[in-house]
Amino acid sequence: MNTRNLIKALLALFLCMFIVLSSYLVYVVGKHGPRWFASPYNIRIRTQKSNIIAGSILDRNGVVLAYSDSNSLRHYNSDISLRLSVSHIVGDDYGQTLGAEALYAKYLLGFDKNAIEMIKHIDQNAAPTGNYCVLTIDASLCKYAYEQLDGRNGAIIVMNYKTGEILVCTSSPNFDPKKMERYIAKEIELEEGAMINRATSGLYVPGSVFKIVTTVAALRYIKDVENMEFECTGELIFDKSTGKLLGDSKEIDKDELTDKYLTLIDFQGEEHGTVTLKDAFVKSCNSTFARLALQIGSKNLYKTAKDLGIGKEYLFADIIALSGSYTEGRSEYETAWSGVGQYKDIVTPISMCLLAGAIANDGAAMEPRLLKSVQTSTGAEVYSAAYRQSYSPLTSREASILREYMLEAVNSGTGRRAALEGYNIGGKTGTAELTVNGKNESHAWFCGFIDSEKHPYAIAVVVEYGGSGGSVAAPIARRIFGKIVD
Amino acid sequence: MRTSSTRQTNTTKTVNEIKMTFSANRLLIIILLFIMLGFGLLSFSQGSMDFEPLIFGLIVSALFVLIYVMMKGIFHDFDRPLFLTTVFLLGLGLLTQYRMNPKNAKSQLFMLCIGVVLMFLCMGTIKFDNIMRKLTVPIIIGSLAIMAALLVVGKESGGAKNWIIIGGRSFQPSEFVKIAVVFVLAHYLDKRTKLKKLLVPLSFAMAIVFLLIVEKDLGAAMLIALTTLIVYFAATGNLGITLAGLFAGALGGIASYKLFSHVRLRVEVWQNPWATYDSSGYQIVQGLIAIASGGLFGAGLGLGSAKIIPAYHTDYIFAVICEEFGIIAGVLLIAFYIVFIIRGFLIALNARNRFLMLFALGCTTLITLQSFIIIGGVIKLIPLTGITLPYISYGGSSMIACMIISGFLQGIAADSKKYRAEAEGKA
Repeated sequence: MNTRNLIKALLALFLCMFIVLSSYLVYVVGKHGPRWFASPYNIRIRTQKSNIIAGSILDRNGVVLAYSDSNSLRHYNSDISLRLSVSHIVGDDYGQTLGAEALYAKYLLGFDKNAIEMIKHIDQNAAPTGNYCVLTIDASLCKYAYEQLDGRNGAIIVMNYKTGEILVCTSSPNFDPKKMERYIAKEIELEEGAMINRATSGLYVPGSVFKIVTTVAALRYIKDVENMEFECTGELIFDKSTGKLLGDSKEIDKDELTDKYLTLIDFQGEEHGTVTLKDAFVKSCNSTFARLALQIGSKNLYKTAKDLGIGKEYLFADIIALSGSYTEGRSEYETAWSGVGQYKDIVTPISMCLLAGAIANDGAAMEPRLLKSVQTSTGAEVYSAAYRQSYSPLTSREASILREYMLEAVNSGTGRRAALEGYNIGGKTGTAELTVNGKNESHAWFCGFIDSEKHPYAIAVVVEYGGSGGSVAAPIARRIFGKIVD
Repeated sequence: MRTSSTRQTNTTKTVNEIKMTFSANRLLIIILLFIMLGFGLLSFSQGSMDFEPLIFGLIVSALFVLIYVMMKGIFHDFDRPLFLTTVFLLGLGLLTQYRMNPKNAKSQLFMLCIGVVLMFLCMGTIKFDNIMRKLTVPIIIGSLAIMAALLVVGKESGGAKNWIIIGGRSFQPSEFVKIAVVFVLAHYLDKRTKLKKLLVPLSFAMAIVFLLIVEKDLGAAMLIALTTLIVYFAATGNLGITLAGLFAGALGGIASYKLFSHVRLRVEVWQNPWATYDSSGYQIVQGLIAIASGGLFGAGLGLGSAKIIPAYHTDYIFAVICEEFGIIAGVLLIAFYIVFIIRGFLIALNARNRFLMLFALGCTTLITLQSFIIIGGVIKLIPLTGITLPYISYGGSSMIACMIISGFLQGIAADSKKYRAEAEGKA
């Protein structure tokens, strides 16, 4: 090619580069802009607070959670227990947490007002007021849920799986927004991590609730797995140096191996005998799921987990949430544990709640909604949440199989204590085992749903160091569901 | 038959030319109106009337009109779209600088005046390109000497040792050396020669890049290295060597990533500036927040808070413009650079000879890459490298260098049209 043509080619290249540049600008601001704006590092929010009377934050029933007086001072609900139960959702006035105060600052501080409205305000002598934000949560239910944690650390989240509205979201330990100034000044000590909303960003080992993921993967990658039978002797034995599966406790004599082995045992060493996939799920049989995980392979497990939202980058409009992660095992031993929700598996309550909701909702996960509507101080609505599907993790067939398994788990399995008279409750328990300072501890998990057109709610409960999921988390879920349908 | 058709084309040409001048006049008025509106807004923004911004705006507008009239008088055939684009960028730059800090805008205007004089001088030299080219060897020696001298007498600022102080004012020689490199490349690549004979210009460019890396001026090093490759590629069409050069550059990049902690830091900050907000991520994070805070239509001139971004008036001026004028303005600004690039390339394609063609190409490439590198860095498309946004960022050396580039491009445009007209006249 001669120089003139090469110059033309270079021009084309440069033009493409600049088109990429401007497209990226629009794309990245469209995708992340609202989060960047709501960042606690944004000084504009702080500045605006002195120019405007910030709007109030209300719950779905009109309970005022936060409001400003005529001197622009921020006040929060006077019921201490209620205030604490929604502190992460509401946030604080100092930009320390990512609650509604920060995320919806655009509305509360009137950044969304157009030029004409702003000029109108110049006319009036009164200080301009921001818009009101109505949240989807029910504060009294949040308070009730918080009381169920009974001083223990943990998180509870309830979502309407048909619309995505978050009805309950509470996290413990929490902070009192009234005392934020004193926390910052270090006058009062705050428990570590108290400002983190564990329901949306708490990274937890899932334990057996992860078997939902393994089950979906089994349905996808093992042909006819529903009709297979598995043998459970309560223990699997692996070679210590290679991590390879040697066999179960019936096939292998541990004494011959003279300590050169690792084991994977069932909860409290139970033997489940011959089981189908459904039995294994209902009884939460570790050996069977470990064998399934090995058969599926860690690559496929990784893929399935990602499809189901674990390891996905959540970019929801209304809340900031993490989804967790699945790490591929390097040996059969590690992969086996990863299939039963241990090893390096990490989930968040919201990711499990979304998954349980998707199972109840024919496989479609709705985008979580926290902002129900935005109103002006005179009551005119300027924004109303539109419900939309976030992603579709499961096929309708997979969802119906899982729904059946989860209903059975509550009906006759490990989730019995979540059963609620007159309602079809489905769920999966989890007891996430951890070693803390050489001591064996466990987080209690439950995630499930009410199978009902009238009360389409999904739940995730975590109680840190609470004990077993079936005896601790499941009853909490039952009580909250009972309160909701009441 | 033939005569009549020639006459016909002649008449259409004149009509077109009249149209073009007319629309250029009008466009200039629109641009000046935009600038004056901006300064007017600044005059009223404090509640009470402050005439200073308006007066400053009038001086700027008068300067632009004066340049336009002089250019029309002296060089009839200068490139109007390129001129108007430049005026817009300069006007927006001065307006933004004035809004952020009037003192900066005043010193910038002073530098612009020096730049304008140099621009006219440069426009005039194009006619004597053969004489100019005799200066190649002194230019090479001078450039190398000044860059080497920086190692000893250079003043460090912002982590890079690339400033020199002459008579109380600080200059950044790399801004001018980059034009010298393009000039030298165009000179040697004029004739299709073997690689052996290109040893002089290529090793000259490499030496400059090397010195810049040693002085930690990575932005300028990257700019000159890439421009060299592009001019070399256009001149020779040797894809193999160009790719080898790119590959060597990539290897060098990886090596410096492994070797130097400041390069590693830069990449880490690019990947997640939020993680190191308290230290190295601060600038990028505040830049992103500023861009996001402006929204689609901007906070309004004077209503942004971008002053907290370090280097808001130099490297981060794009974020300031995005916040106050909106994302729309950001996209439009990129579009103006696109117009600049297209005109620059057309000037190169129409140049009288191969030397001028390559020189125009090099000059345009400098502006192109420079704006891409800094805008891309600010919006986190690529790792941030400190470099100015042409015609807009605060900085005397950068402003003068940009005006020199404008001068050469306009000179080549005017010269080629005149040459073509003369050739047609003879025929």
